[in-house]
Amino acid sequence: MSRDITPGDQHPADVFTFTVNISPSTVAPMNAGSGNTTTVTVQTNPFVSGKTVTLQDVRLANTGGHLNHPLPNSNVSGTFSPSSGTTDSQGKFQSTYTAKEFGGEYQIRATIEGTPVTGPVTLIALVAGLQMLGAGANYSHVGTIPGIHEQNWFGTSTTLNGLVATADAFASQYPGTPVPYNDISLPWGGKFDGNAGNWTGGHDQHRVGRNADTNPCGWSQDRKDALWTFFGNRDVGNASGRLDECGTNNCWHITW
Amino acid sequence: MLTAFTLALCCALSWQPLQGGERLPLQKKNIKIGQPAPYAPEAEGYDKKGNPIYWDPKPHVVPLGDGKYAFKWTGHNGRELTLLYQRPDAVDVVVAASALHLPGGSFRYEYQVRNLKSSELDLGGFAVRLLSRRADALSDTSTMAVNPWRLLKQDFQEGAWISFHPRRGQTPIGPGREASLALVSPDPPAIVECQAYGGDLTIKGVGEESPTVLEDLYLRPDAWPHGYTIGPDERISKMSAKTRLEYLTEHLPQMLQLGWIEDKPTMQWYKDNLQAGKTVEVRTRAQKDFERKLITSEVVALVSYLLQ
Repeated sequence: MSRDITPGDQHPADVFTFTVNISPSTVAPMNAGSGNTTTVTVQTNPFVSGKTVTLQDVRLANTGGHLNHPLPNSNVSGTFSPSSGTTDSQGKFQSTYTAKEFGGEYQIRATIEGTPVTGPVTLIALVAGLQMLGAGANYSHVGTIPGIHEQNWFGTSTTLNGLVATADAFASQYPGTPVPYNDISLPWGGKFDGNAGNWTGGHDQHRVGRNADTNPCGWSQDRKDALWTFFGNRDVGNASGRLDECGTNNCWHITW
Repeated sequence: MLTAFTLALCCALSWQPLQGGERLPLQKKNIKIGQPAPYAPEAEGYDKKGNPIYWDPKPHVVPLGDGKYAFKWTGHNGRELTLLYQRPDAVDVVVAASALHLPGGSFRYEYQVRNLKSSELDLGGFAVRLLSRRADALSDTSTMAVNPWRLLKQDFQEGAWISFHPRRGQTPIGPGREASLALVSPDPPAIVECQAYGGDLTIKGVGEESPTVLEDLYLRPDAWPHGYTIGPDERISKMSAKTRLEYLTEHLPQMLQLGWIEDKPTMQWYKDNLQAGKTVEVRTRAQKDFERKLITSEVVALVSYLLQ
């Protein structure tokens, strides 16, 4: 992904264009798997050395499933290493960009000798392959926070299959009691921050679509026992772990 | 004649269905649980000037022995938190199986799932991969329970697992003990996959989710002890006699490797005679070899019903 600009009012000897390129253009959010970095390259044409380059990232609002979160915010800015420098004899300046922990869309902006790029390049931070848990007769979607996180049911296919199979199995034994599925992951994965929507708090997991919460509060013990077993059954939920989060047997966190 | 032979053999097997040689325990992947991947500190709040306050959980693992691990990290309150994780593959399991041809034409499959004394855990579950869409668990005679959904569900797919777990309130299937369970199906036996795990998959929470890199260390179900047994396979029902014979011949090396055939010369005898089409001789020899513990009940079942 690249853009060309022509800085204005230059002495004829200094007239050049420069290109900003990032590769890859999609990275994983930090703490959500490997591949968190991309290489940012600024290239002058023709080669001009000694020009000062400064890099900046700008997060775009309402991306990655985070709605109405405050921006700009230092907590969502990734890091450039280095964030500024000068072009070399080949007219090139390179930096490594590391994404922060949130999924979403960023602009990578560069200035050269103070002149900004007019068309910044776009970087996507996301966990690939997440799909939304669709509607089902035997489970319900709960836990959405209007205006903050409205799509909290994205997971891997393994996770979603396990959730659907568990709910179906449970319904065959206890019809008419949909299983309430709460947070899985946000659409682009990454840190699932708290309900305040200010880029802090929230889940320390639920980043890669492999966890789901369910809170069978008020259920009878036999129903809880059945559901708990179905999550772990090889032919039903096929989960790898079941966490009784608060020790009260009411807040379950299932891991695939 | 053939039916009479089969019935006689089945009756004999029904008294002592699981004799035979030393079966190979379910195999483990021996996945090492080491230290988690690095975890970058994250902002968990802001100071009065609006600057982020960073949280560095410093996740790490302390092996406790016997397949137990302490997953530790610094919580948001600054205190060290610990989740106790028990790896579910800390069981040594041997599965023995037999098949009995019932008068109505169905096959009754019986399994003994032995939790060896060397195990660190009670048996937590056992699963067989079905290659038949027509199979039911016989829960009344099983010391492990099948989930009721399995009994109700009519349209499960070929290749799906059927899983069993200890009945609530019963004595745990601890090291040195064994469980029995049974299936019935109109489809004849073939070699199928099976898996087992130990303990309970439940992890007791500490009121805060661990850093995700610790969760990455959980062993997935495909890492549970894995092996082979016999089970219904609808493909066999559709095979010609020649193809069945070829199936049996091709799988003899696997039966040797699984400990279902005592040694290579014995396997070679079966191979030579199957390839020569001497099916009557093979079935006759199978009964004798079973009594001499040169082959297991699994081989007897396969020989008996694939050569019918």
